[in-house]
Amino acid sequence: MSEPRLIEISPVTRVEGHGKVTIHLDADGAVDEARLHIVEFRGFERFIRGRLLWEVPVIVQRLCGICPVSHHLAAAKAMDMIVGVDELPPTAEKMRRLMHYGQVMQSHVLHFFHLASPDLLFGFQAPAAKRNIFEVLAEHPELGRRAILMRKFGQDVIEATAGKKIHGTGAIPGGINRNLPVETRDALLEQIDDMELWAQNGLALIRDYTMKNLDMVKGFAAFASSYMSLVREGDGALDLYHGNLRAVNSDGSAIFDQLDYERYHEVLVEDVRSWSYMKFPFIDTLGPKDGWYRVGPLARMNTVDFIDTPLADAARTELLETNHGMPQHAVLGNHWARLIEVLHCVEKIRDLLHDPDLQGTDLVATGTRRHDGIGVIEAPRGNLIHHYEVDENDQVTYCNLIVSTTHNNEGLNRAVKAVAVRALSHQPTITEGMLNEVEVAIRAYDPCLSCATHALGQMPLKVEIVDAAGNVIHQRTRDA
Amino acid sequence: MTLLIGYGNPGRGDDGIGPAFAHWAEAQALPGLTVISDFQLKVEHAIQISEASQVIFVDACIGADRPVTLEPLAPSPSARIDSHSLHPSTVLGLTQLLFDATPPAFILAIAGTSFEMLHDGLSDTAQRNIDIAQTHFLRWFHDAQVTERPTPVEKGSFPAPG
Repeated sequence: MSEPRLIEISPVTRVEGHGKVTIHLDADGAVDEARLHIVEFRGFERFIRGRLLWEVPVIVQRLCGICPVSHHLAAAKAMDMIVGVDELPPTAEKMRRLMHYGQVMQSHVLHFFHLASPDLLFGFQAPAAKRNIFEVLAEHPELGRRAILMRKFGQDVIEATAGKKIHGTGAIPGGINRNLPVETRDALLEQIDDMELWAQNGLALIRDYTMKNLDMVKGFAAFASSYMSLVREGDGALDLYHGNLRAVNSDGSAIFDQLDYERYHEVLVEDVRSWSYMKFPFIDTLGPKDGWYRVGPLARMNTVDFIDTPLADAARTELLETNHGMPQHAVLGNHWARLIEVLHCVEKIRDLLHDPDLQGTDLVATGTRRHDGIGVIEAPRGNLIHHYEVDENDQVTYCNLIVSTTHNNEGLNRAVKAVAVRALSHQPTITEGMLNEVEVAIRAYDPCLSCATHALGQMPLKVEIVDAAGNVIHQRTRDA
Repeated sequence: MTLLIGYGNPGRGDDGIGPAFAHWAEAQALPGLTVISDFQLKVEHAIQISEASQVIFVDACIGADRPVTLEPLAPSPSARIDSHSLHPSTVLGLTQLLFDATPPAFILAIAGTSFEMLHDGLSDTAQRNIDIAQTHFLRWFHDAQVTERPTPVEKGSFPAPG
């Protein structure tokens, strides 16, 4: 009888979106070129054609196991347009907002506490064995416990509003299919004080880290750029669920403002380059060279006029003061911005839980059918656009998605190159710590390569350094 | 309480084995069994695991020479977390570190053959293997309830199909 063998649960079952960084050195060992490639393409937009409009908000969650709620809501908003609904019943809109705030909160908490904190607490060059979450938890176990409980709170909010963790069905064209029972509301309210306190503690942690290391933060993969996000109609406040498009230059001046997002295709163009499957969007009036922009938590801090929750608004003011009230360009500022948004989401969730509209029973509106539907939200990683056309048989005939990581494609590539030039040029030996600096720059964007390739799930990353003769002299692979 | 976590992506063919098994297990309404179904393992699963007397992860596998395998699983306290999903031993490591809990853990690996992107439904082979796994799981779970203690399992203890 043969020995029982260990069954390998191969990660290939969930490997879905591949990133590769190539860094080319010249004959003198200087970094000549550095690029983030997306080497896989899944063709989700073709897959969705022929599907019935009613099932789209559920099916699109297959795009990503990381932020399915974002796609669920963006698609539902697009389908609201298709079914002719311009204004949802209050209960429907507030339930969707509650779902979205839960999603953004839990996504940011995971990224900061579990993915980014080892780099920040131990240093980018710390040994890999030290630079992991278990070392963080060993030194800060209470921090780890709180982070997990915050994650769970966000997930509970999602489950209460979307119905299920897999393929949630909460948002439907024209509305929502449930309200929030009083018992569920009360169970969430019991935890909200802890959530707010812990969000403030996390925010203080990253604020103190940034202020203590301000020169490093301002110099790490930092470069000026334009930014784009939704802002609230009328007053320009932060609004993660709905609003109009605003793009600003690096000095904060407007490129376009309060633009109805149904007109996104009039201002954005998606460029294609031969070495990546991920497109390169740019602002049409500025052209492909100068028209690139960034989205995400820091971008939102730079574009909005204010935040309509007091604690988060005060924190945003403090963040922008690090650049004299002007847009902050330091990529590591995204971590601070993420924690501001966690606090904002908690404040919003508290407000919503006290709103009796969540127990309303008018859940769905109706209207006159249209051919086109566009839904835009601010997902955890930034602006997310879903655009569909549906025929008279209710079948999708056209789909275009622009996800956050695609918006950030040029910024990601520039960050990779900036770090590579500084950390790797003319170095006799390439260390793991140097390569980690490249990853730190990528990680600051919290990119979702599976979303960007319109695939599902995760993001294995391979880093290759190529010498002037074309030989791969260093390689590192990180599985998802 | 025995906790069953079935995970995988139903939008990728046989990767949906875990959620499909969890769906079946939940429908059995077995006393003492709590079922979770999810796309992937996440850090917050450590909370539910810490409250369980034993935990069984159910996942799809490829390249296996047996249709179904049940194996004990140990916590891994040192794995890196580089992404948004985790290996089961990493979740166990988190549970141990944060909640000082190490419930006996097992992984039920069910072989699949088709992991195509954006493909609904399970292959015939996967469905057949799930049927095999259900029979063995019920026996395993029953034994655990009768003995009221975590069920020891030898590696590869489920037979190949006759």
